[in-house]
Amino acid sequence: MARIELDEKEQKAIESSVMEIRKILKKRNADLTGIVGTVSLEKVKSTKDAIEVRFEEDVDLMVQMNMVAFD
Amino acid sequence: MYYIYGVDHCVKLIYCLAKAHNTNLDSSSFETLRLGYLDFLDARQKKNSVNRKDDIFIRDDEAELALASSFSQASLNDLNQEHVVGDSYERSTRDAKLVMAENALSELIAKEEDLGLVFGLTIHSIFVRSYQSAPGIMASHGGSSSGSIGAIWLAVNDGITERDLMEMYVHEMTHHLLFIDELNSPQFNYEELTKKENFTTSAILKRPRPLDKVVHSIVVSTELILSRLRTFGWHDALSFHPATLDMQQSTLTAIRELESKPNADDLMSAHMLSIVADCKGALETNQLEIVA
Repeated sequence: MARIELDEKEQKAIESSVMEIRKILKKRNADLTGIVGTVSLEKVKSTKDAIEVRFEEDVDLMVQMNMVAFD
Repeated sequence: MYYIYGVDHCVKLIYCLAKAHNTNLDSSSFETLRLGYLDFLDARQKKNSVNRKDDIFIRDDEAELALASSFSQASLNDLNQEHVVGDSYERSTRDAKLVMAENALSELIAKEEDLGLVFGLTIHSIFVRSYQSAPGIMASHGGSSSGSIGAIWLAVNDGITERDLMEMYVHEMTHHLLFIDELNSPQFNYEELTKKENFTTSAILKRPRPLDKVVHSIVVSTELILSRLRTFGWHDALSFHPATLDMQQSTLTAIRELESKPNADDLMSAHMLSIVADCKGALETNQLEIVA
C-alpha cells in the first residue's frame, strides 16, 4: 500500500483520525457563535420550507440520488 | 463546496438544517450542533442508519448492511447504481482496508484542519464493502446516496493508495454538502430531469447522464482541482481522477454544454446555476496556469 511523504509537522499531527476530528471540533468551539450568529431567522424559515419541498419530491417523484464513483 | 465557499458557509448549511428541525437547538458547541444535525437526519431520512458513536468507521455487520441498503432504486439513478454496492469483505480484509481508510483520513485532516471540521460535522459513517461485479455494472470505488446523508461507502479496491482515498474523501464530502445545500435551497426541476433529452455530458466520466449527476460531477471536479492546488500539490492522474488539466478542460466543457442548453433555466434553480457559475469562475482563474 503506497503512502505519501509527510513533513515532520504533518506526521506529528497524525493521530487516530476520529480523535483528531473530535479535537478540532472542540478547539474551534469559540468560532461557532460568530458563524451561526449571522444566520437570520428568515434563512432558517426558508430552509424549513426547502426541506419540506425536497422530501415531497423524494416521495412523489422518487428522486433519491445515488452518486457512485465509477471507473 | 468547502473549497469554493469556505468552512463558515458549510457550517451554516448544517446549522440551518438542525435549527429548522429543532428551534431550541443547542448551538453552543460543534458537538451539540453535530448531534442536532444527526437528530434531523434520524427524523427525516427513514432509510438512513445514523451512527451516533464516536467512531465513524463502521465495523459492525448489521450497521454496514443497513448503510449499503440505502443505495436504492430511484428514477434518476442511471448506470445500475442501486446494484453497485457489493458484498462484505472477509473480516481481516475489511479491517486492513479500514486501517488504510483511517490513515488516509488522518493525513487529510493533518493537511487541512478546516476540512477536518466540516468533515467531522457532515460525515457520521464510513463503511467498506466490495463493488458488485456483474455484466452491465461498471467497476466502482465507492459512493454516496442522498437517501443516506452523512454516510460514505468505500470499496478500497486493490492497488489504490492513500492519496486516492484522500481525494475520495474530498469527492464524497462534496456530494454530501450538495445534498445538504439542496435541503437549504432547491436545486433542480426533477420532473424535467428524468427526460433523456435533458441528459448532458458529465465532467469526470464524460458520458451522457441525468443533469443532477452532471452538476454534481462539475462541483466535485472543481473541488478536486482546488484541493490539489491548495492542499495536495499533486496534479497527475490518480486511480479515480484524471490529471488536473484534463479535469479542468472536461469540467469547463461540461459547464459550457450545460449553459448552452436553451432550457437550462427550467431544469435548474437560479441557486444551482449560480453554483455552476462559481465553479466556472474558480476554474478560469490564473492559478491553473501554474499547473500547466
